[in-house]
Amino acid sequence: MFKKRLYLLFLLWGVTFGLLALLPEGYASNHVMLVMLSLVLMVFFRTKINFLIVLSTIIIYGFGLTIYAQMEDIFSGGQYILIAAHLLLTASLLSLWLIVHDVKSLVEENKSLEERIGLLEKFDWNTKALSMPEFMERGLLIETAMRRRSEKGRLIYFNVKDSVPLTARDSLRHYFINTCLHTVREEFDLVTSPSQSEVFVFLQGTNTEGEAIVIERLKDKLREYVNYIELPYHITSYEIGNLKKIMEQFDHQRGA
Amino acid sequence: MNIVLLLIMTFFWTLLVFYSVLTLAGVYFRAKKQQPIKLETYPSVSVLIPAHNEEIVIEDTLHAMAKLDYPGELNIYLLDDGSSDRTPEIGKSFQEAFSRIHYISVPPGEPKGKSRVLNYGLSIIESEYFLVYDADNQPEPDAVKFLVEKAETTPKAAGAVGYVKTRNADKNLLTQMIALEFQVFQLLMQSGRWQLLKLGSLAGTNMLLRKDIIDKLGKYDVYALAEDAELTIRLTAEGYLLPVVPASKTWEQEPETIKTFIKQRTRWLIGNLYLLEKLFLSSKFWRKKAFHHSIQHLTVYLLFAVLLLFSHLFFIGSLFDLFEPTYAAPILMLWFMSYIVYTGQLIGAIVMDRTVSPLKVTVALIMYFTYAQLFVILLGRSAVIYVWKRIVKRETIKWDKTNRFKNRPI
Repeated sequence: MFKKRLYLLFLLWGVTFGLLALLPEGYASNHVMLVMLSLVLMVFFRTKINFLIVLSTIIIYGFGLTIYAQMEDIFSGGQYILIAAHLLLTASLLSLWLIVHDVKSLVEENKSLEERIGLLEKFDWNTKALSMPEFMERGLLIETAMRRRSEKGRLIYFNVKDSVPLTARDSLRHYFINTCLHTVREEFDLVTSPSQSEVFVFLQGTNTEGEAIVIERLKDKLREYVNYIELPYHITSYEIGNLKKIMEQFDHQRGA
Repeated sequence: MNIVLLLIMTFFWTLLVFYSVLTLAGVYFRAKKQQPIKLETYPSVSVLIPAHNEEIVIEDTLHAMAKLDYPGELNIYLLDDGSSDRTPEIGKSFQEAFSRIHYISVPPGEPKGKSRVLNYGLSIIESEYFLVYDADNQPEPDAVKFLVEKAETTPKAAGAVGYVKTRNADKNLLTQMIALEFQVFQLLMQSGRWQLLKLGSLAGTNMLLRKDIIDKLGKYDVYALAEDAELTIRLTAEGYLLPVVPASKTWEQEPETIKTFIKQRTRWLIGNLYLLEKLFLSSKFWRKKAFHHSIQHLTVYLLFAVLLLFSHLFFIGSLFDLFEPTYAAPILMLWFMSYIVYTGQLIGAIVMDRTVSPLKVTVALIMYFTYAQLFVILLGRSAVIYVWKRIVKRETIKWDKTNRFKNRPI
């Protein structure tokens, strides 16, 4: 339906341009100039402002033609040509406005769908780590449950070292996340990676000793394929008491 | 002869250019983003609903009133002007259920009509603001809040004016056209006037006013049938502003039959002729920005009508070879531009309301040749009634209530 409407609008626009050839010399160049100018302006503004541009052009052009008729003493049948010219420009501008509106709506819809998918997506498509909103949602639930059971948990923050070449970071991240997922307890601990250089691991029901065991196991597994003697990530860890606050601090740091 | 024609031409040209500029300003006002306003404290407001035999619609109206969401003190008064149907029964049932809804029986009196009832309402309330809704109105929950926020943050504001939408627009071609007319003349032109000249005009419903200002002005003129237009000019003459708030919306019924439409519009036009008479008798109405309202009133209800009559006479005369017209101006282009500007206003209003549909655009395209022409006929009819009743027979012209229709869901 939408596609059909766009085709029809393009057809209408084409027809109005084609009919310009039937008008006396001079009208076509004026029309092309006005339509192109309006199109350029319409790219930068919202639909409502674009309508203002179209309406202004239609009214000013109409008054311009009327003044022209007055100056050139066109008081009889000649006015029909002017009316036809005005109607063609009006049809052309209105169909163009609708086309721009439809295309912009599509872009907007696409953007909002992308945002919604981002929110609904549970896993990162490439790494299989949890998406950030999912990590937060599950993390907050687990935090409440741990509090009720009087348990403790740890949040480990891995940040890639500057010594790691930029070219290798993406591959290393991919491998590192994969290793984390195989090291922590499936369906129990959480892993996410909000950026190319950062990875968070949420360990529930774990103290500092348990955390050290996980890090050691991680190092051992990494060494199987990675040549770095030391772990190529800086490690910071936190006791989980207020996950939201900790994550907001990271957001703040990133923003700064 | 040529001088008369030249005057007519100049007048129509001026009107056309003025309304073109107003349309563009209105579209601009509606297209620009409005900043949300939040007040620290919200003043007290009384909603006044004059009603006379409104059993068909009053239940829906009071339902909508019960849903109003306002952060300050809000009281709703149903002012019953001697109804003999179920209006009192319905009003009292709402009074029993809701602490802020009050049923008030207005004592009988003369002259009959909305202005007298509103004046009675004003005598019993003590709030800072009052808001008028017609008995068939269904405001959106935040309508009152938006009006108060704007009135409180606009210096020299006597209140604020909201948007009146048509709830039965889809009923038939007539209601479609009335709805479009409201979109343009009740909102788009209002927005244009506010954008360009900081002028607003009361719409009779969904309008907020400061009680102390109206008390100071001597309340409503009980003889005015177009009480909103009359009060607008008095307020503007005192230097007060009436900001326009498109976000504050109420839904109202419009006439579904030609007979009801003619009756309603005749009352409005007679009210406007009464106002025209007042313009000639009082210099107060030409003070400050009221000059603009008055000159507009004069151009639309007198000059436009008289010159149109001349224009029609010339047209008919030339058809019967009584005149030999010599064209010294592109008359056809002028007529064409009138059509373009009028239709541009209609389509502009639809676009700003985001209600574009093939049907609405078609209605807009034919309105110039159909609905707009009714204005001339109705103005003629009203003028005859006005002259006969007020000038020849010296009677008080009575309030002619608009017939209601059973509500359909919005």
